Amino acid sequence: MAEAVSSLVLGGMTVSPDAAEPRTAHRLAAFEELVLRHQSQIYRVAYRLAGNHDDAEDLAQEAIIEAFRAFDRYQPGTYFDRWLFRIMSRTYIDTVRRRNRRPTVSLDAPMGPDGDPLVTVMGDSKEDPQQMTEAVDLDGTVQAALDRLPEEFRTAVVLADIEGLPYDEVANVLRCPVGTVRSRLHRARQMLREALGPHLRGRRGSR
Amino acid sequence: MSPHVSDRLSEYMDGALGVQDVERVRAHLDTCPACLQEYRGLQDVQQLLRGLPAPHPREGFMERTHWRLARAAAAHPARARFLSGLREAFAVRPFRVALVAGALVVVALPIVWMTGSMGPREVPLDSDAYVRHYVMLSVDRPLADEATSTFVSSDLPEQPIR
Repeated sequence: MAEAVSSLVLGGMTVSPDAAEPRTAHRLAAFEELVLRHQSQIYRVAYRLAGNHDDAEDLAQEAIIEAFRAFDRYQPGTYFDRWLFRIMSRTYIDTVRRRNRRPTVSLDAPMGPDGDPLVTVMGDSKEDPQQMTEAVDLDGTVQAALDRLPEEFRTAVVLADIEGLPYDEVANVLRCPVGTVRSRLHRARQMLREALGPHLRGRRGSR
Repeated sequence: MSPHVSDRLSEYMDGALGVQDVERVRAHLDTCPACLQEYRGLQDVQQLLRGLPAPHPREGFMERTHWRLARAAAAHPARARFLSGLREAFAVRPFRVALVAGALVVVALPIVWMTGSMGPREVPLDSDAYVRHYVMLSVDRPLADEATSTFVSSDLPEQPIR
């Protein structure tokens, strides 16, 4: 009803209902072109946040759909990827909170005695051992360490160190003060340093 | 030895400190092996993260995204139309909105005075709201009736108000 009234009241100012479908299609095409252009950044952040391809695809798609619904608020000429990260970080936090309220037990990710995922210790078990190059192994180890960070810390470090955003842009994406970004980022790196200690020493020795 | 600078090391690494703080951290790192070791560790972490290979989406990712997106767009055309109509009216053409708002004020004020009820009234936005408003205007002010109908009737919906 509210919609009928508003379309009536706005009737003189807005497009007629019949003209709306081509308009939606046009918006969709323009939006998809932007998504296509930034798909690798979008997927990279989604993957580093979610930790695996299944969840990454879901997260990326949900964020993209949310972004399309808010597309009128995007200002052309500004960074589309950063605008989308802003939406994605909220989608991600929402997803994690929903999941935490309804805990699931996964047979694919067995827990150690102290509740830590064993995958962290064993590496990504889904990889074919023959294809496991050193780089892939290290990637899995780093990703596992990222997965263990609290969500807010993980988001900050992914945006700053993987996407290379400056502090103020990270703050903008995460909707928090720059000071919060500084401390979250520092804490995240400290935790990663502790988690990845042996790998870091190995790298340093090899250089 | 100067106090430890552990808290400032990330900002130091990112070039996010002021000149004075940079000098202070640099001087401390020259004399403190513990902080220097932590600093090196943070640098290693950053290098490791920067060097991570780009993950490749699974085949057909963009196609699947396209279909989900198209479905979502089709499921909410009315909502999207309503919102975009609102935005167009209020964001893109402020002059037109101001004109209409002004006209509404001119039309509504005398009626408010005549009925003797100053100030905003709570009018429920039910199915009769528009009709009530319309009848009120047309009874009290024939000219207002004309004005209202002119700007509303240019695009009346085909279906009756639910």
